Amino acid sequence: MARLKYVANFDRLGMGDVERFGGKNASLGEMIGRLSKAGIRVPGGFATDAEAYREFIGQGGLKARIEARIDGLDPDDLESLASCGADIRGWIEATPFPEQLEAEIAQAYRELTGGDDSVSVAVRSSATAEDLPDASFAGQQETFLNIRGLPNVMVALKRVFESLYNDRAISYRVHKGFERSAVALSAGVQRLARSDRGASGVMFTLDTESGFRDVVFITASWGLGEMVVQGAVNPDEFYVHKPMLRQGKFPVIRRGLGSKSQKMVLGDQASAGRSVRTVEVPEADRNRFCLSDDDVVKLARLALRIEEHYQRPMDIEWAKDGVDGEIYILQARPETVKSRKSGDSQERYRLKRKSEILASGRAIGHKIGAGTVRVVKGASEMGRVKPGDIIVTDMTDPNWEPVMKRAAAIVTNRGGRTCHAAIIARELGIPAVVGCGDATATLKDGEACTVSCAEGDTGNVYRGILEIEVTSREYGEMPKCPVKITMNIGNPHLAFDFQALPNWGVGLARLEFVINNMIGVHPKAALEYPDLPADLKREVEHAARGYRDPRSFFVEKMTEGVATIAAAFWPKPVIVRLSDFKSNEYKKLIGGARYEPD
Amino acid sequence: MLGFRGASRYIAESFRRCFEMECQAMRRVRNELGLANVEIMVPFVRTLGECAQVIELLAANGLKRGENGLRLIMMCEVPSNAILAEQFLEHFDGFSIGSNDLTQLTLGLDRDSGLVADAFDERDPAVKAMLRQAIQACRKAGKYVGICGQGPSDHLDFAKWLVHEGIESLSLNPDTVVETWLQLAREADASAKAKVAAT
Repeated sequence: MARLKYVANFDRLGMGDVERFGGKNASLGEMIGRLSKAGIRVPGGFATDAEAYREFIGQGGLKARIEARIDGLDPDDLESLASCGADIRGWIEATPFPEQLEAEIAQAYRELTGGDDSVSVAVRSSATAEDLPDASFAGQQETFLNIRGLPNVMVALKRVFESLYNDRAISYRVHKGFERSAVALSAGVQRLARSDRGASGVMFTLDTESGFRDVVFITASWGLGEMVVQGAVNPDEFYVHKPMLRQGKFPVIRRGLGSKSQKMVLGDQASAGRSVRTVEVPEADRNRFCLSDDDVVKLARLALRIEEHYQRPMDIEWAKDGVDGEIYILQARPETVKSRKSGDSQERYRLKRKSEILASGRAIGHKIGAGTVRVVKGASEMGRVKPGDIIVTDMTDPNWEPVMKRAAAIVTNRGGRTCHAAIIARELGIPAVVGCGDATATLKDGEACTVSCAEGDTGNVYRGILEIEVTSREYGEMPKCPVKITMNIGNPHLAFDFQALPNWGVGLARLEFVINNMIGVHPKAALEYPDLPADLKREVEHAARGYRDPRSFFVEKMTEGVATIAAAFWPKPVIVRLSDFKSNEYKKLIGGARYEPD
Repeated sequence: MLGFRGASRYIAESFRRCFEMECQAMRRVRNELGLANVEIMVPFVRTLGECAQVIELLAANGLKRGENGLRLIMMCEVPSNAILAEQFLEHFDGFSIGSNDLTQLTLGLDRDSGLVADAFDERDPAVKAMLRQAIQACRKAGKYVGICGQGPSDHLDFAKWLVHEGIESLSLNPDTVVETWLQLAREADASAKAKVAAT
């Protein structure tokens, strides 16, 4: 492509272009230029620069009108925020692109598709103040997938320009204090990886809950990645141990099967708004992992190379193309929450007593929040949330951010560890329990509840306001101790947290938690499958979903439990005690009554 | 508490295939995943006979002591373990003391029974005699000795006593790690200073 004024091919961009092309597009260019030799595949594309946006917004006094409209806006007044946003977006839509910009886009698009209008592209924003290390802007701007044909690309680009003035973006920038006029926007047009026929997700080069740096954490679901990013599905999860990956061992230390009930696939039309649709995932696909172990390892390797290149913890969107079978990297940006925390202080929340559990899901953060439940059906009801309430809803999206910061806790039906609610809750430092399934039904509007994320992987919502205890201590360098201090660990999900304490390793890793909570099946029931009575057989089958058979499920889950603890403390010694159940404890497992004496 | 558990369960014919799964998981963690920092601990070994059998069974399941650096540790939690410590230690790389069961079995009480639970105390002289015997046997044999019962997490004086007796490691509940570490360090520091002052 000849050098154009407003538009550049991704392969010409690098990290030096953040100001002109925004963090996302610059990062894509950087990976294409510097990492393709290391096996990182990024779909090709082009981007418009900040100058193109400024030129556009400078036409006919549009910019001055916009700034005057925002001036004096109270971003917490949701009604005036909404009308302000709607006005501005209307003005942008009515303003045409400057001629030269339009011609350059057309040229770059032709070169990208080779004139084939059936090629699908994704059109995304890349705000130039976005993705800075202290602001994740989770899903802040728009993405349009499966756009085909130049006229549709033009419309989608306009919509991307508008997205700089959607309500949440206005609110976010006013709150964070970004200078309005300093924010510009670059738009990227990129070949669409066909994960509608494969899988996609997000991965982090650390554990997002504890900040533990020795793992790659991968989430994955069927179809286009928006479902995972938005948190509309509970994805599969995988943890990969970096040191063992580097040593060429089998490094997958933990898997979690997500429900993955829906997926986003291509729609029939090629224009913004109708180009994708959401469909139900067949049960057989829900009950198996959407990635093979080989894919998981491949992804983790890519994550490691990207982290090594950028020299910091990264947050990476990926897609597995179901047509060519390749794994593509769609986005890579610095991880913004956990990597800022220092490791030598310890704040622990603990419930002093427990009550009835009303809902359970994935715990985000380590805190406990209590307050009045607000079951909020949609964005229109957000005004009902008062400071200190518990937001209970199906799922959140960026439009919710203005009210999320008021909440004592957030509880959702849908979403995994990397969903929108989780990312924002982490950033705000409020507890969230996501992916509860039925929280909007089991929690009643107006009742008092306590949301606990202080019990490991599982977050629980308890009836009533429970008394909590918060202990905090700072410790710098530890003095010399006359004896080696090690730890007793039962719950592998807490191991990544506990490894941050000063220690010489694990003096006792118990298997009982692993058998009770991660397996739940009596070993003999696993062995005697399929020759079990029908109902017991079904129960065992259900527990072992995602694994080859109940026996390998038993072995693999035990492997995962032990490996998680061993990896957390590696290379320090971890003493694992072989199972020490008594008969009455074995009896409580699925099938236990059949095999254990009274 | 005294039922079908620990080593006797592993070596029972009826549990053999279950135990194989457990061994397979440990092999996988250590050999395939490469996490050879995992050491294996056998709980509740009542007799020397059980001890020999369980070691043989582990080896038959690919978990041979010393292979790929594998260390085998035995829980020291039945009085017989302390009394015959030297002989048990011939088969293992060390002891981890389970002070909960050792206390119950030495004092002949069941913690779950409310009537006698008050008498439970790891610091009883009879229990301490058991502990001393076990620690000394390990030290004499040049083997690992630690404690993973609840005692040192609950009672700082007990932790100090164990350190004084020459225990190598204290395995604590995570929430007591920092506090206990600082206290023991302070204590060691103070007694070092006292020694200097006395000379």
